[in-house]
Amino acid sequence: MNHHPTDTTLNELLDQALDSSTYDQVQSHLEQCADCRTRLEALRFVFNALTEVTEQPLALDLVPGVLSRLPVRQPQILWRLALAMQSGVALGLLLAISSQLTQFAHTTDWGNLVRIELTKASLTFSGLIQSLSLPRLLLQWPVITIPTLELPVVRLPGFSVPAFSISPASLIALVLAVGLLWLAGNLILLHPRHKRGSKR
Amino acid sequence: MAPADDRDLARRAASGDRHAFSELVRRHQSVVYNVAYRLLGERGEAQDAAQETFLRAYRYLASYDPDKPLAPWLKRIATNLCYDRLKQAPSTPSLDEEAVRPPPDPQPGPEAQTIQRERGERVHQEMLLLPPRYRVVIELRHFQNLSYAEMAEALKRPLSDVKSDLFRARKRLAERLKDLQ
Repeated sequence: MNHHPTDTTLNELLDQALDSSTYDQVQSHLEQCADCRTRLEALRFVFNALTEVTEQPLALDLVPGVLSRLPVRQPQILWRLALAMQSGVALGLLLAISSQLTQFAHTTDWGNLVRIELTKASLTFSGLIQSLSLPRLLLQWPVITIPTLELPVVRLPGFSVPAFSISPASLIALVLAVGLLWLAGNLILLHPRHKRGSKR
Repeated sequence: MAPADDRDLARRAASGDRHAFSELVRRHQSVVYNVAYRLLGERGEAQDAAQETFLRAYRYLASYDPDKPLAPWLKRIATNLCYDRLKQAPSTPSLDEEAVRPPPDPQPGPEAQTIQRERGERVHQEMLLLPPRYRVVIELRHFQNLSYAEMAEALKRPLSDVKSDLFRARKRLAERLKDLQ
């Protein structure tokens, strides 16, 4: 290398970022060029000077301050437990009413559930329009009958649960209650504690 | 019982174990504080930045790769956090009285040791007078031993910019520290 290496090259030399051929060229130039050696030494001085910056002792334990500012994180295990319980309740309810649902599906005449009739009707507007014929929608609302749930005797080792029935009203109330509990449970779990205003 | 390693503690902390996280803070607080102190130059501010670093780390624990050592990850967070702070107030020189005159050593060592310590403080002062973008590359290269590519990745800046800043920062330091040569 006949020309003087640039500042960039000298920096890369000290950072050991030069490829081997460039490194050799620069080294051979430095052996011959006192000016470049001086430049390199000035740069090397900065490297050495920076190693003299000493570590400072930390006078304060940061742990209490950090812990007091940590957001509360819900453990994942609680999530899994809640999800498993909710899935179990939903599955149990589905199984309990499955036979009634099947029966309902088989015995219902779906074609006659909704019947729409178009008729003509007269609407009277005071003054301007004496009469106007418009089609009128008549909707016959389907009547869905929820049968009473008859639960059989459940025999388990040591004890048995007697047969009992659940009325349609009770069943609807039960489904609504479970749904509301499910929503409320999710809201409580999803909402971070620090946003609920708890202070430690 | 053998003490848990950082990897195990980080996993437990990520699943909400505050005790595990407090142990991580205890282990790394000095290192993180020193990064902040080198960049900010004021003890109170450095302590606050170190605390903020751990809070940010806690928030992003899920993205931490447990197969890599924790300390460099924390130092990188601290560096970026301090750099952000410096950019917000770039005109304020980060040099406080404590940085100029640190508390006296209760047990002064030999004269040579004292001189060396004073030289180190002087170098730190000059480093603190550099613009933030120069200061941060000096920190990453000389104190955290990152390569050019790693620095560019940490700062999310082009490699050429990072190298250029580093070389200019060294040049400026060399000029300022001429009297020590």
